[in-house]
Amino acid sequence: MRDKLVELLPGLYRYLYRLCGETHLAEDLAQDAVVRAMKCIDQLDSPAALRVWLFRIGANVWRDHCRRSSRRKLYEDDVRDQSAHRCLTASAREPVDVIDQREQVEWTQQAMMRLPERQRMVLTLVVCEELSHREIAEVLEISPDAVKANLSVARANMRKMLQQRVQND
Amino acid sequence: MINCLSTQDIEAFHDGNLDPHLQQKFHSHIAGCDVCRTELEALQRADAQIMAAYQSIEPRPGWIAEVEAILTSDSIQNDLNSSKHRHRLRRFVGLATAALLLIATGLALWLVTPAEKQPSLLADKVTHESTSTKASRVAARDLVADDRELVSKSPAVLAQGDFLVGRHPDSGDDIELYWVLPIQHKQ
Repeated sequence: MRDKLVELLPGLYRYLYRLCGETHLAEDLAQDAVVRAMKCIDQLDSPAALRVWLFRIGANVWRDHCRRSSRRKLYEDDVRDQSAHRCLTASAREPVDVIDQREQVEWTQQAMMRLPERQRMVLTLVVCEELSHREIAEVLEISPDAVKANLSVARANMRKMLQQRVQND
Repeated sequence: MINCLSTQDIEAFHDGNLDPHLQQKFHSHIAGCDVCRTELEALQRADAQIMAAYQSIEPRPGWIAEVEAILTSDSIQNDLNSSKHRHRLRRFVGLATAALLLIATGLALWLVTPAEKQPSLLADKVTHESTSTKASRVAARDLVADDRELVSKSPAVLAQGDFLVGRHPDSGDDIELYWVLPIQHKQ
C-alpha cells in the first residue's frame, strides 16, 4: 500500500499546488496528506478507492491549513493581482495566435488560479485527474449536482477569460 | 435529427456523463453538425490546455524519495502499528458493546414476554402450584376455549413461562396443562 501511495504522490502534489500555488507549501501539504493516509490506512474500505480517499485527505489537509493560517484570502487576493497583471502584460505584448505554448500554459495556470477555489478544484479533478462526478463529490464532500454546477460555471468562467483575452488582443 | 446541443449537453457529452443511449444520440448529431462540432473541439482544446498546464507542474527532484523515506521511517511504522492496535481495540470494543446490547435486549424480551403471554385466568392457578414441581398442571376442563388455544405450543420451542397441553400419563386421554418453570421442562 505504501508503494501505491508513493505512485499517487505526483498527482497529489499537482492537485495541492493547484490549490495553494506555492511549491514548498504544496510539498508540505502533500507530505502531510500522505503521512496521514499511511497512519490511518486501516480505515480505507477498499484498495480501489485509495486515489479518491487520498485526494480527500489532501483536500482536508488544505482546509486545515487554511483554517490554521487564515491565509487563503490573502493568498487568493495576491494571486488575482498577479494573474491579472500577467494576463494584461501577456495580452499587451502579443496577439493570442502567436503566443507560444509556454505562454499559453502560463496563461492557463493564471486563469485557473483566478477561479474560485471550488470551481478550480472541480475543474482540475475532472479534466486533469479524470475523476467521475461521484468521486469528486466524495473528495470535496459535496453533492454530485454541486459538482456538475461548479464544473459548468468553471468552464464558463474560463471561456469568458479567454474571450476577454482575445478581445484585449 | 435533434436540434443543436446546449453548451451543458456538449460538456456532458465530452465528459462522458450521459447514459449510453444519449451519448450515442449526441455523437450522431455532432458528427453531422458543424456548429456543435466546433464547440466540442473548442472545449477539447481548452481542456487540453488545462491538462498541459497541470502536467507542467512538477515536484522538486528528490522530493518523492524524501517522502518515501519518511513513510518507511521507524516513527511512522511505530505510529502505524499503534494505529493498527487502536483500530483493533476499537473494533473489539464495538463488537463487545454490540454483543452486550444484544444480550441485554434478549434478556429484557425474555423477562417481559411470558408475563404478556400468560392468560389471566390461568396465571393465578398455575403460579400457585408452580413452586414444588418441575411442571405444574391444571385440569384442562378448568380452561375456557380461548385459553386452550393459547397454550398449544410445540415442546421444541418451549421457554420459561410457556404453557403446553399433554396427555395424562395414567389415563392417556385426559388433557392436562403444564407450565414450564425456569430451566426445567416437561414433555
